[in-house]
Amino acid sequence: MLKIFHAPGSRSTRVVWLCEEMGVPYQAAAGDMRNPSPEFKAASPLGAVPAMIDDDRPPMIESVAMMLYIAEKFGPTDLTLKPSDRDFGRYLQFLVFPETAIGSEVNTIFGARFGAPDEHKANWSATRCVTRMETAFDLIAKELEGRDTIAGDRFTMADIVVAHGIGVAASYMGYADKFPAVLMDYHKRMTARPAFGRAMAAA
Amino acid sequence: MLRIFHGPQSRSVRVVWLAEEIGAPYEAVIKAYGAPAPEGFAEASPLGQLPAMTDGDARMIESIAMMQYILAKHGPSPLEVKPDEKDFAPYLQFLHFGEASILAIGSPMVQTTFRAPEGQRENWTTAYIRDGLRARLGVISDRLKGRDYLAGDRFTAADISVSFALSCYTYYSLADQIEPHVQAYLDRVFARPAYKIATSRVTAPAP
Repeated sequence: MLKIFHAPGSRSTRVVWLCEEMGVPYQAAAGDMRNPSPEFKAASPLGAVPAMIDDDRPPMIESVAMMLYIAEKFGPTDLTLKPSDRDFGRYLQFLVFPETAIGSEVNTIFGARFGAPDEHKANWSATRCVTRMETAFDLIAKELEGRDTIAGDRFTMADIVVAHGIGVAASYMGYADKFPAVLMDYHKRMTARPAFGRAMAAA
Repeated sequence: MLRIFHGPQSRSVRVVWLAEEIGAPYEAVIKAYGAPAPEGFAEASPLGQLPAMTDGDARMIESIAMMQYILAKHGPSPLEVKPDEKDFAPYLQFLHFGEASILAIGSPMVQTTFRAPEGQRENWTTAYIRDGLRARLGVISDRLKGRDYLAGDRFTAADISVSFALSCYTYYSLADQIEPHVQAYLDRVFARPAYKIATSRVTAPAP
């Protein structure tokens, strides 16, 4: 069975959410980054969540790769788009973009916010990361105009990643009142799914 | 046909390299740094960055997603590890790790080095990022102990993703951290003719 080292709200939410959507059995284990268990340490060489172990396979530490793995191994699922689907490229793109253009910036922003001495919390680099992250959200907002989901005409894994990104910025970075309605309405719609509720209850 | 906006030092190297490796027909449109944008670039790249790729109506700006797109559309290819193979998980993992955990993390530091005002080019955050990049290099180094390639006992798209990321350790001032077995790996993959085409200044479109 899949064992997912999870910290609620973090990137591991993407993986747990996907399992809940697909009905894939998993065990959530505490991904406590401050007091890591020996097992978590072994699974996660960078000491970060998520980490995932599938029986005797080597551990994985990239959330989007985990999602692709789960979809292949436990699919087929209509949460993916196929190469023959018109929006296949768009789907792949928005599956990746929230990590490379938002998640990575959030890492660095939080690193400074929680780790740096006060006079360094808003240094040039951290401020630049905020700008880049906001640019990425602007693009997502533009791409969501007039659409129910980010790619194809149904909910897919790309929506999990995009909605999670909006949620992190809204809940932990004070963007709930700053984001345009198109982002917040979309987020509300995606997170109204029962599987998201079950994912949030996983500890 | 695939139309790849390309700079021989940008992430588009990954995409051209892969297309060359698997013989996918493509057209490379050179976008030189600082030069005016070529025709179609603004529409293809809403953030004004490389890489950008179009295929008919499809527009993409993420190099890893482009690689997965090309493999799915023009495969099957031995450059992919398949779901029934032992190394499927590490293949996917390192394919994404090269961007999500290395280059995307390193970008703000490179930008700081080149664009921040004098006196702010090294700060608390650049040191923090450099520590992170050192740790990530350690993950790659461990994986390559006793292995010629990252996954599947052969050259795959995961090697394209990661080796390109490691080539940027020069910009991070961390090239001296690359251990001999990792350097041997880089020499091995960069000796491939497709890499040389992807990084040459004038990239020849496939026939």
